Amino acid sequence: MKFLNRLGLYIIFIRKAFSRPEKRSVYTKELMSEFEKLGLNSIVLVLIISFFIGAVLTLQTAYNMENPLLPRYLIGYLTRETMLLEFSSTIVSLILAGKIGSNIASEIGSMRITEQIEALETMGVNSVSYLVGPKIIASFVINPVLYIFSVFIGILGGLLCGIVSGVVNYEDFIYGLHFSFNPYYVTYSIVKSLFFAFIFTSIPAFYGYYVQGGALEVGKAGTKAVVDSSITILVVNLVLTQIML
Amino acid sequence: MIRVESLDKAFDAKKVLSDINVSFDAGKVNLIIGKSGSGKTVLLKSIIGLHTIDSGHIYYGDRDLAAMNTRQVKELRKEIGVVFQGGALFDSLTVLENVMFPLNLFSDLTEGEKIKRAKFCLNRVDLFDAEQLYPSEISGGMKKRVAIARAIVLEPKYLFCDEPNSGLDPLTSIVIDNLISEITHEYQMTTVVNTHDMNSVFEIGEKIVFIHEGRKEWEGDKDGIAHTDNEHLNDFIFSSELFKKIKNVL
Repeated sequence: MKFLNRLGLYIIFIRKAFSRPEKRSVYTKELMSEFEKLGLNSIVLVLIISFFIGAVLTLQTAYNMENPLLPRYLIGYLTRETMLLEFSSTIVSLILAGKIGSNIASEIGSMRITEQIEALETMGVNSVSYLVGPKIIASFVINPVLYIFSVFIGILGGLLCGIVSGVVNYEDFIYGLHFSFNPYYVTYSIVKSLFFAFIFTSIPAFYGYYVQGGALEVGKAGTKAVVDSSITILVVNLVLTQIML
Repeated sequence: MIRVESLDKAFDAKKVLSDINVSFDAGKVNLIIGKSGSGKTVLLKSIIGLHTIDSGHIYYGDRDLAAMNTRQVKELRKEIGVVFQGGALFDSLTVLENVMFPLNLFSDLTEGEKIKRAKFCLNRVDLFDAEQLYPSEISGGMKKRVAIARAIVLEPKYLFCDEPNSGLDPLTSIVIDNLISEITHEYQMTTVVNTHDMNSVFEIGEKIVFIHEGRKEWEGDKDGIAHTDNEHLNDFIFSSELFKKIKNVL
């Protein structure tokens, strides 16, 4: 029963987040600020992680291919498939759920306990729409972009590591990248990244918005938001994979 | 003028306000006083519309808050300025941006005019050279001043202050009290202040409402409060040794 109540409250919350803004120019300014906070501040982290994961994937694939009958281009192929299908969409989103999710929950939660949300309401501002709407829209735009960057940098990391360590040569790796490429996988992963972007912004925002108490409760809301959005991402990943592949 | 009639408010099974009937006069500083937990903040937030009341009416002039549609409530909100207990300044905005925020939402002024108006309000609360600072970089007293400047930037008809002196030293408290009083008379606003600061009561209280355990127990002015025979009010006002001595002198 409690779960259904929370779910109902969440649906109303999301509806409010997409209600018509009071003044478009103020919301546009907020949206630009969210692009910076959610996108630019995450891009370095995503690139670093993707580069190293791509490199490690190449090494691990190479060391697991002891059979001389297996062609070396499979290293490039498997690195591409892993980055494209799962790492750059799901794992990067899980990382962002931790980084951005806790940030959103604590930011909105702090605004709640310091009466800033009430101040917005008394000014006649739809606080959910003003605070949450731009975050969701910004992450919708940013997450697919981060996905694309992550795929490219991961593959680049794999290529460089493969050449430097000598486990694969440039030609084989590039051949593997082109081998049996299915463009639908990109569409599938971008659709997933859109769903995940919605999850890792809206769930933490919901927890932050309805926090009650003090700093301790804000901290707890942040933790709960990250756990719940991570689990939701994993479940939605499974469902989308079943539907789309 | 604001009129409250037969207001009841409960949170789940706990009744917080019972049968509150009170009016707040225009052009005056109206104080709501009472112990912590007496229900005065709930009353203030109910009047502002932040809490939905269970029964009763709240009239702004002749407009009944409960009977207003969403658009009318939004219009009313433009006539209301609120100073929250901690200031409730937006952390991500500078002092100037905080004061300009209501103008950005509700006025059609040019950017230059908005800046001019915001600076005027900041100067009115005696804040100079703090425009580019963030709330985390200014003192508690300055935060309250910025909150007052933000509350008056749209020239509201109604000003609400929730414990504006909390966390301030006695000297700064008096400065804030006097500022609220001056602004009220200057703009002829209906000002409602929640407080349990006795200095404020005797300094600026033109109309005083005493709330005890969710009920209105007394209503009057600062002259009447010194000679009241209401037991709860006497216990509240003259709780300290200093005020007991003052009562004996009075």
